[in-house]
Amino acid sequence: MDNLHTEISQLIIDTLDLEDMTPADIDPAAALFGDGLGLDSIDALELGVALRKRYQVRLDGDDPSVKRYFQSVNTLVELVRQHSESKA
Amino acid sequence: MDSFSLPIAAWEAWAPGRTTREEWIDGSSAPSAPPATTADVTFIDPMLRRRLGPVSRMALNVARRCLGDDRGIPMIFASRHGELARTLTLLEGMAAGDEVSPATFSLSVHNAAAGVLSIAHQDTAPATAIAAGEETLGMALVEAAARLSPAQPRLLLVYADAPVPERYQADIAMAESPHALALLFDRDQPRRLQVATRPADGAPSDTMMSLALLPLLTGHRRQAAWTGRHCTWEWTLADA
Repeated sequence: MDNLHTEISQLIIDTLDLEDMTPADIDPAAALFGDGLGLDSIDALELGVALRKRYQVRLDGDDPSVKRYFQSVNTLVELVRQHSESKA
Repeated sequence: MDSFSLPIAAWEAWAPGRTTREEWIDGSSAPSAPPATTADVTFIDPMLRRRLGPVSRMALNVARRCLGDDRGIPMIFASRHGELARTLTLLEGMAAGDEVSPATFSLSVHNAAAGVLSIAHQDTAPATAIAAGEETLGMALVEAAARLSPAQPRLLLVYADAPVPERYQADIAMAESPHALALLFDRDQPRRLQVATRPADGAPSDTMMSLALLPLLTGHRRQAAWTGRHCTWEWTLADA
């Protein structure tokens, strides 16, 4: 895991009150919602707010690619990287 | 004077440093733990309980202890202030131009504890959530009397409150402390809590209504009264 993976895992832990977890506990390829980490729809909204605050990533709920980016830590890293490249 | 009676099957209470019924029955002195202590709700899945505020935690703690393994019992959740500290955080954030946190909002609503308990217990029994100012507990007793019937022979009343945040303290006349109380009513029980109200006939009490009722439940008194701005409430415990 590189720095951005750890950073996003920590953002998930802090934002969603995942008590007693560290970034190492989150498999970057595992599903965040449903069967994997077990996050729910309110977590998705909360995470959207946190990503916007931290990385200025603006998400459109009607955009089908949003669901894909919210699959795992890996896909969120991809989202943040793409966003910072498109700004550069 | 208006009066009614409620059949009491069980009760539980929680405050920092007074976490079991025995401690309430024994303890005449003030609880010693710091008021910031939160109630144990480890019976709820960690993913479900992580967002709960302190008032909901107290409410769920006493609800669980009073229900035990019973399910399907309709519930009344009562709190004067609910998770007011959380609502204030949201309002201050909005005033500062921040985005509203969906998670903070979701469990700041008045029926949050009822919702979480129904998910944790997989229990679809109906629940109401009420607030009625300083007389909140009294109005919850009225609600219980109105709903107890052959169709709803048992009812759980859960009351929980914590002091208002400092910003609102000037608006509250009485001393407030964090605590919760659960009462299980059952039409088959002979033990009765008699409740009578009349127009306020004295200076308002300087304690919370629930703390005035608790000495009856712990057996320290057979009769108690509490006076608010509108009414005097009088309770008597009687074995029919």
